[in-house]
Amino acid sequence: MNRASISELVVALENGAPLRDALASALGDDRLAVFYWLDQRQGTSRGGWVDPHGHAAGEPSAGDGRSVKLVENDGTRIAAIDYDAALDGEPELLDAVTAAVGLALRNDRLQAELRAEVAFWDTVTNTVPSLLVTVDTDGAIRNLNAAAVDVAGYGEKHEVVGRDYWDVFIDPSERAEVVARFATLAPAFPAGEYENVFVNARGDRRVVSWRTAPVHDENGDVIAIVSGGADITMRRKRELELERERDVQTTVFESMPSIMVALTRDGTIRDRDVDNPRVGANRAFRRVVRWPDEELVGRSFLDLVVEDEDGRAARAIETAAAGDMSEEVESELRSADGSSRVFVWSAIPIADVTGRMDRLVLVCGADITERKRLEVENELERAFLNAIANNAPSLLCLIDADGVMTERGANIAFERTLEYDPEEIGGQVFWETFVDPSEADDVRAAVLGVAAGEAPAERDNTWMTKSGRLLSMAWTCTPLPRIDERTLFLVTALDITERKRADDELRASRTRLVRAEETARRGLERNLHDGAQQRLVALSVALRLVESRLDTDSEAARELLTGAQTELAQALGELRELARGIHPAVLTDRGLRAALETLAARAPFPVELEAPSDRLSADVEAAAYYVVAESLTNVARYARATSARVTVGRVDGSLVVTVTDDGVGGADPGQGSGLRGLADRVAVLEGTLEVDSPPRGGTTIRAELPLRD
Amino acid sequence: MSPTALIVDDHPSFRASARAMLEAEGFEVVGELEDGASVRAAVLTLDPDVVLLDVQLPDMSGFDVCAELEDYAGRTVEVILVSSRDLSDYGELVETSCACGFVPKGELSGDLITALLA
Repeated sequence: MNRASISELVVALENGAPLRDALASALGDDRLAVFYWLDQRQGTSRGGWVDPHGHAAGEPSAGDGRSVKLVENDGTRIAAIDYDAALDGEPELLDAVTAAVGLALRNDRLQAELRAEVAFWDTVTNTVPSLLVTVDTDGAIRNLNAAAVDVAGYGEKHEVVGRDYWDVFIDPSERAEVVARFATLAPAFPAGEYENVFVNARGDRRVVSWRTAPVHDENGDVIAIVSGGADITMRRKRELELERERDVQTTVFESMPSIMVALTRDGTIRDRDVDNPRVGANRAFRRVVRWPDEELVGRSFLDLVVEDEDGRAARAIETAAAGDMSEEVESELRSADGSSRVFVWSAIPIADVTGRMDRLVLVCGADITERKRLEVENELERAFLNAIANNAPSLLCLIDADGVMTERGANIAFERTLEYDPEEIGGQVFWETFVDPSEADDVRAAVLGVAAGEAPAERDNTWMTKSGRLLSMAWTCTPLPRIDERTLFLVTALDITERKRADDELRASRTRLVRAEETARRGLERNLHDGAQQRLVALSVALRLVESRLDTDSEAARELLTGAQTELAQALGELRELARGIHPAVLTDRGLRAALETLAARAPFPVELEAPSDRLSADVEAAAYYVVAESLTNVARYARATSARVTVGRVDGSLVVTVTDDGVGGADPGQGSGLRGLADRVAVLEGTLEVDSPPRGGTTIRAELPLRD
Repeated sequence: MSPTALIVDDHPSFRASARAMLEAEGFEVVGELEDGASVRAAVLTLDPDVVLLDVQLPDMSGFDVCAELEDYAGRTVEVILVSSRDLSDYGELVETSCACGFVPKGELSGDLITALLA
């Protein structure tokens, strides 16, 4: 290339040509390059080379047809010129040109240094996360950093620069308002802070917190407004989430059926938060206690507890205050109206979301008043059933499917009848302990049968008391409805020992009556046979003899007839006596008093008689008659008495018959069929017969015969 | 020689009537007994031709007495059972006994006894 002269070089520089171009022209080297030395590069503490644009460059070095000339001023390195090595043959030219541009080089280096500084800050600006936006006083965006471009929803700065900031950062719905406010801020545009929410060019919703400050010119006029912003979309989102979470928690807290109340660690009821004087309790709690909030806040929770004699409520709160969950406590809480309800509650340590304290105590519980009432009712019902069971005359006990008695599973009748103490009963095998060993297998089979599903049936078995007494029991075994995991059976039994004895007695009495009847009939037949019949037989034989002698020996015949008449008279007498023995006609015809007078008259000792003369029912008259007749017969046979006394009279709806003698006494009503027969006859009429016969004290027979209308 | 008879009955009035009847018919009454226990010994000593034996004795029945007399070897004694009851009251007992006959007491007569002994 053609070289320009030194003078041309100076003129070009004065005309503002770039230094490198001027040097290249003067030295005729197209590839010529200039580098400047900066003692301290921006953002570092070291020196380094930059190109004329301020961009960092490497250390200039010779080689490959190039040479480097360092330019210094007063011993200080300023610049380096990279030139064609062919120029090394013309050192005078090089020195002359360098000298000519010395001042220009220093100026150009200063510019490169400024450019490097701007580039550094540009880098910083574009790499900070904060948003930086500069707008002019008309609201147009003049500059903005990469972060601001991104928040605005764009990719390149030039897409945004020059547009009004409200078109970029404000939602359409708010733009008019923002424009108006911007106008009111002019011309001072005081510094301010605000937050805005908008949907950016990409359609993302952003939340930005801005700080603005005006930029003044040398006259103090505002020429631009700088806004620094922070994208708080995420932070706000988290805040919202937290708030929603708190809302959910609050809703749950409020709508829980459990009572909840927050206490400070000393046990006082807390307010909800600083701005909210409402009590820190949920609706369930407030509904239950019904105290106004102002009376609850600051009050000790324990004031509401009706009584805490064992200190469990206080201890529960202390436990939670110390950071542990308390055990469950049952307390009555006092309402504002003076009533109280029962709660089961526990105290839980919780964090204080308001941040005023590090820990709170949450009392959380359930209203069990109703359950408690039902429990009490159940208890009463159970007590009632127990009372019934214990007062029932039947023996009751509970056994399992193996026949094992449950603890306390027997009523009082069972214990008393079988002579066991209550604690001796549980665990016993029913048929082994309470049943006569000879019938244990029977009873066992019956119970196991019911356990296997057979229909319960009443059975009679012999049971055994602790002392070995045998009792006749009518009993059944019935499965009970399942009330827990066990299947239980109810054994009910009735002690029929006495009934059985009475039955046996009745049967024996009937048998005796039948036998007595039989004996009486046999006696009657014997009497007829031995008495009247024999006399009639003899009479018959005698008459036949008379017939055969009538013709031959009339004298003998007459004697025979005389004997026959005597025989006949005696036969008639015996028949009359016999008939009276069967049933005295006088009793039927004239009544008890007359009949007794006859008996008294025929007795071989004096009998004093006292009896009413009115008629009674035939049954009673006959029974009374036979009591007196048999008694007097006994007196005559055994008592060796000198006299007897018979009284008959009405006493309390009964006819009382007594026969007293002054004989030897010692009569035993168990011995001899006569008295026992009388007792049976009296028992048929539901009467009683008593015999009082001390040795040598005489005998009194007393019969009481109920009189029926 | 008249046939001999022994009367066994607990009722004196019947014994008296029977004795009068038998004697009127030509029997010689060699003895009277009122119970069954002594019959066997009396037969041994008195050796009657016929025993008039009451069925209902106080100590034993006439059938039992009759059975005892059957074992009595070497002698012939005829037993005639008498009773105030009817023959039908005793059923087969009379038939199976060793007695040669049964007479209701009311119908007792010498002819009847003679007929039974024939």
